[in-house]
Amino acid sequence: MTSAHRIWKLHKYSSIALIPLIIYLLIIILRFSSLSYEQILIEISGAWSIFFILIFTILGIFHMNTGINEIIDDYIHDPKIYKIFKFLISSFFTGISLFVCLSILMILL
Amino acid sequence: MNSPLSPHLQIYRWQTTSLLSILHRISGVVSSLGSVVIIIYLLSIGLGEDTFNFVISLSDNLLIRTLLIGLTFCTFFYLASSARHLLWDYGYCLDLNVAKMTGWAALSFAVFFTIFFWLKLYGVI
Repeated sequence: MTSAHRIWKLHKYSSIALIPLIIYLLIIILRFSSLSYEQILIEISGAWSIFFILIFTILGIFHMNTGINEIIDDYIHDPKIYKIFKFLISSFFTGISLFVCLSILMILL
Repeated sequence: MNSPLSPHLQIYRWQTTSLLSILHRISGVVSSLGSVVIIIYLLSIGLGEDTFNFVISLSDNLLIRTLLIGLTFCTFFYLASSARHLLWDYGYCLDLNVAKMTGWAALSFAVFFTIFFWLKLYGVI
């Protein structure tokens, strides 16, 4: 199995796992809209919520990263622009990971 | 960098299936960028009640609300379209007419659930 084939398979597996997680996220957003700040804070600092956020972040970032890199590989052929986009994408996802960790720490402390 | 070039979009004849395929990619990219909204929401919870209320009040701005509705649509479309792509990967619904039909179904799903989601969010239903 080539590296590209393995990444494609993992991308597909991550999309299978993300479908119920995204549906759950949308349900949570609807539920939180009727709660007060204190209630949201209690709910979100629970073990299940933290576990959900972490799993969602790991799978989501993997899925988004492989998907966007595939688009870049398909449509950007200039080596310089290609490198710039690759750098921007990796910076974006590194930033997202850091901010999620920071948010969890601030919620828990 | 030696991968084959994708079809040149400017000389490509538009078809329902290709349009939906492009929309699938665009909605995926928009949903990815939209993850920033979730991060802002999470951060605001961590920063305290005042910041949280301020962030929530931003959604009253017409421009921000329109962007959020667009983001919701992209998320629902990407969700349905991904399920469609998964069916193809397992060899189902590959017939051209069925592919067109499932494409329109994904689009209808996104429109319906975007409206439903926002009506529910505002307590209308």
